[in-house]
Amino acid sequence: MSDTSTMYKQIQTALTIHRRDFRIAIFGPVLYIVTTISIAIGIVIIRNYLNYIESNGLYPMPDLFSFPFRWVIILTSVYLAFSAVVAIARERESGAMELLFYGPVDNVSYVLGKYSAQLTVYCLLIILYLICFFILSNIAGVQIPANFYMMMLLSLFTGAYLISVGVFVSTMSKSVRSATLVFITLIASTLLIQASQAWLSNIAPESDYYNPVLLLQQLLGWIQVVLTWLSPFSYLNYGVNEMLRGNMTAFLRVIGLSFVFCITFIFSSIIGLKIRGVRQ
Amino acid sequence: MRKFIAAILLSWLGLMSMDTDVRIVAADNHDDDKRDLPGLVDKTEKREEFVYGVNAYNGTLYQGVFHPPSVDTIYLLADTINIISPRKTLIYYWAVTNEYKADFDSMNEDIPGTLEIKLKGELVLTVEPTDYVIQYPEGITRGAAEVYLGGAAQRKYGEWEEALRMYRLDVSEYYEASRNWRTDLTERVQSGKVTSEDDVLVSQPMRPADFLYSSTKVFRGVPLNLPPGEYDIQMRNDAGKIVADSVKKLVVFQSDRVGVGYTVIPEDKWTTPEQTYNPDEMLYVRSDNTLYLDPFFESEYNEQYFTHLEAPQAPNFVNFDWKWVKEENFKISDSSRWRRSEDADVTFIGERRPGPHINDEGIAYDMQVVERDMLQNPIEFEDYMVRQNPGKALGYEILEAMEGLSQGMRDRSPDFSAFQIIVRRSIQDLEVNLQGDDGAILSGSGRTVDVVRGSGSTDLFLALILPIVLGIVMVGYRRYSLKIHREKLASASIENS
Repeated sequence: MSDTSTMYKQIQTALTIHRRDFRIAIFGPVLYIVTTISIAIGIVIIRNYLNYIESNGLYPMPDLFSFPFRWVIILTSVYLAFSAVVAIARERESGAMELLFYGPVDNVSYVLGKYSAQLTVYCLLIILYLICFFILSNIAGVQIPANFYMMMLLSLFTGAYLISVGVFVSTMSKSVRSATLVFITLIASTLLIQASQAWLSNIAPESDYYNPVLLLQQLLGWIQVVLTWLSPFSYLNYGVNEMLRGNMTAFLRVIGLSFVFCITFIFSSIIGLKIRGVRQ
Repeated sequence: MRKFIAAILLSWLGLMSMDTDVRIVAADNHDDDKRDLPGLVDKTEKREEFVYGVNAYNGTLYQGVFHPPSVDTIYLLADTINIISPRKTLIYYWAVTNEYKADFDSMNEDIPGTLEIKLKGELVLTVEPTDYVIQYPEGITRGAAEVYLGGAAQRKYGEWEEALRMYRLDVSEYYEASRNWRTDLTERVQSGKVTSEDDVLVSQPMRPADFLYSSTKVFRGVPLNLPPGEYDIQMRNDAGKIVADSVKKLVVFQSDRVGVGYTVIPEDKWTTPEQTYNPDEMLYVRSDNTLYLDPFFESEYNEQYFTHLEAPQAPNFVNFDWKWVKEENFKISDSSRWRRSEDADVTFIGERRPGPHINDEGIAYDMQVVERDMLQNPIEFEDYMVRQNPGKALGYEILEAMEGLSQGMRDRSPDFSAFQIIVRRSIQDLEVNLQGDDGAILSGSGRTVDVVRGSGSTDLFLALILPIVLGIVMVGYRRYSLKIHREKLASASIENS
């Protein structure tokens, strides 16, 4: 069989997997529960800002929607990455993956199909969030600045990167339990380290807690440096901050790096699945 | 996979146990702290060390700091004169603030030799210590700093001493004249020669203006004016040897951006103003509000670099953030209508707020306001006075200085000067900029005033209807189609059977 026809078949198979997973995702209730919770969290943050403006009279900031949108997008992308983890690991554990691989499915079409399904859902959710933020903008009388759209563009890439990490973890895992544990540990560690480092670095040298946590501060600082180059959350924050500073070179660099990491993880997932095999 | 999970968990446990160990050590340290408290027995152990004393320019003034051996990097601003002074002194650890302190009173020895500066391993500059003096002719924080080196340092210090001597003489003469005037006045009052208030005021001696001219003593140090870069420095003594602990990194940096920031004073909270640093930032405001925008010139620096310029012993965390630093105040657009007390048409006793100004070149600025793409009348920079409401109830009102003057607020200077923006209910958004009298917009001065609607906070949750309705429709459609599908299957199987 020629390479072209193999590729064609792979694409067809990937599209079939994509359609199936996409339908499962959009017709299930969990996606809408997560979406509603994410938007609710965003609304609570916006509400706090508005209450502050109402009582204080003013609040200078680059963009009122930037921080709440980042939270909404982080929660959503974590959920989608997690659902990719569970979907792939469950199919392996139940033996469905092995069954599929007896048919026309191979590691390339499987990974691409699974990944693209989650990515499509993610893109649609970004559009849904855009509509929600338009509604919020109208209710609150807050204009959406141009940099909000740039942030959405960036979130597309960082979200795609996070989903690819989820796919990679699941292709390398033996069971749903281990895949879930690894993924949650990764996400929780990343977020916890970022939050802890930010919190610890605010401890003043005069504080009683300064000496006890100095070593931990330094250690977390160095881990944070590594995370800055790896974590999609760091990319999102760094990219948005630099974009708000007008540093579009850094913004484009973050998009480029997210894309490269995304491709790397998808490629690693394909290779990983081949090495790891489809049996439990 | 289990090994992988175990490794992650172990590293977390390791982190936590490390934290516990440090806490135990810290508990011991705290006991030491108590023994080192001032008032108790002084157990601070002083030791002789080589340090670099640095007079680092921070964009506004020269800040004196010192770098003990524990600090390996010196941070300086590029393209300005900074002074590095190699010294031998006594240093001690001050546990209260977790940093080394220098006892320059007990020991402050100049180290003779030359300071060598290397760039990428190659010696690019050799500088010998020279005399220097730092002066602020208009006063510290009021005007630009001036650095004089070598013979000029001695001369300018001499001039300062002479000016100070003259000031003291003037003050002495003033007190003498005041005493005489009081005695004379008492005699004239007693003899009935004073007939009007003017008799008293005209003959009263004038107090000399405050002595703002400020100067350091003449010290010895190495003046450096370097372009941005990462250098290595070391001190070579007269014997040709490198002085111990003198090898350090030298990071010379410049601002990444410059702009115009504003101190935004809401009318109802004038004592708690907000700052807006970022050019093109949004000012979210409540409608029916009056704001006062007081501009200042600012520069943005790498936060870690700038923090260590001002506090060399600050924790050395990795920090990629940026920091805006307020540098200069804005100046009134026309020649001040408020005169010093020696002028003939005295209106206020006092001065406008001091400080250097961004438009010292003579360009006057007004605030350009654009509402719905329509250019509004420019707003002028005005003086304002705040009047406390009489009685026990809290409250105040902000008046234009002329209005305050007309209402008898004579014996004080304006409380602040700013551009006044009135945010009416009908206004949607405003674009504001500083426009010079040459027509040019001052770069980095733009802000958007976004008037936030005072909606009920629960209204926002209406946006949740969209994902909920979408979810109900999608899940409902799926269940309905499945139901139809199952019914079709059931009817088909009945037909087949």
